Amino acid sequence: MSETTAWTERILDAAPPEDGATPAAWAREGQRLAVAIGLASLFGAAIGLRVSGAAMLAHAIGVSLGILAVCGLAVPALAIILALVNASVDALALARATSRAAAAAGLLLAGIAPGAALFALTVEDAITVTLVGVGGLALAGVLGVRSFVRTLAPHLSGSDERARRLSMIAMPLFLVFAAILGARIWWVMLPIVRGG
Amino acid sequence: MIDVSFLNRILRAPAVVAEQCRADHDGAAIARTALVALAVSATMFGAAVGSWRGGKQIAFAALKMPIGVLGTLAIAAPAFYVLAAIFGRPWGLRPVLSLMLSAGARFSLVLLAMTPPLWLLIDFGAPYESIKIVATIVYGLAGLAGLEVLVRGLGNGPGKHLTIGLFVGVFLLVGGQNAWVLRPYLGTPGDAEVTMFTKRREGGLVVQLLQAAGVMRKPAGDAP
Repeated sequence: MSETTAWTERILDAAPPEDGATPAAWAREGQRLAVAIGLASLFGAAIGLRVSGAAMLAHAIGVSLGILAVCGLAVPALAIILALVNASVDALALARATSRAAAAAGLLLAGIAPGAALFALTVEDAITVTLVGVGGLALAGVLGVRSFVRTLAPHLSGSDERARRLSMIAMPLFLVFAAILGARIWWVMLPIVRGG
Repeated sequence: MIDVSFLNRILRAPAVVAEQCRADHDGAAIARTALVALAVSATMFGAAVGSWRGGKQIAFAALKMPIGVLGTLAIAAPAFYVLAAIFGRPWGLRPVLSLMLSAGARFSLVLLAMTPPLWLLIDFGAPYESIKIVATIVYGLAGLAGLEVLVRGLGNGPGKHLTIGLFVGVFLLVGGQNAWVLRPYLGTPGDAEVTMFTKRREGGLVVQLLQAAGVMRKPAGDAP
């Protein structure tokens, strides 16, 4: 493999920062989230191609909002619950797991965006674009969840017995909530997902 | 312009070529040779398929086949790049593209090898349905030969099967839709006029597959 670090390696890096929870470390997670949102919006623009230029923008924003909503609404709720059960997860670790999950989802969506654009532009029936859109978003969601759980797992396993047990209950509930929230936002924001 | 030794290596030792791609070694030569091999082989295969109908269809199919193959490769490459990264192989774009093109070169050489038997079958007057099936099988075999390069390129380690499985899914969808958009290749039986692209409105590939599987109903008025 080439000596230079691929940008995908940087964006998916799970290693904790060497400088601890400094403003710079927080800024890096913020940057990663911003890049992830930008990448995800490419998929929205691709499926929006089916309708018009304005629809491209609307779908790009819609796809990004789904991810932002999960990061901004669901994850803070999980942070409170994990703190309540005294799990050994600090805020920066949770932010890192979140931004990394968003990066995995965004990267996947950007990678399949050319394929989605092909379908949006060439199929005669709307149902195919709906299937491609829903399939792509679902796959991105699954990969995001996988990344989130994998990044957070070592932290949770380091907690005491009671915290670990309660975290084991809280995590699946959070994942279901996050999935429903994301799906709801995409349903409301993306006419193509509704078959429109 | 063409590195014949690369073509020899990709057939005999895909693992060695895959390693060369991952090391980002000689990427330009690999790309050049692979692209030429892909274009030439797909053109020959297209011409053979088009010879079932004959006349203008030979030229149309010969022109469309490389567009379909190269287009699919171009559209599916970003998916392979990101899937490899997500499942633990965050490599640079150049090594990944070299790997994709090497797989494409192997695919194209197998396609080229299968072209004369296919043409002979057509020459013996094989019916439309048989040629369609044989051409699909040939395409599938060539695809498997190409896939081996990607499998070896990913090496051992976690996430390999998921990467390949998901990529194959994306590739089949994109390739299928691309081929669908550019149809017909063989020519439509019963059509008096030979056209570059079909004028029929038959929905998309996914809808056709769902209808064939009985998951979706055909629109009223359609022949069964």
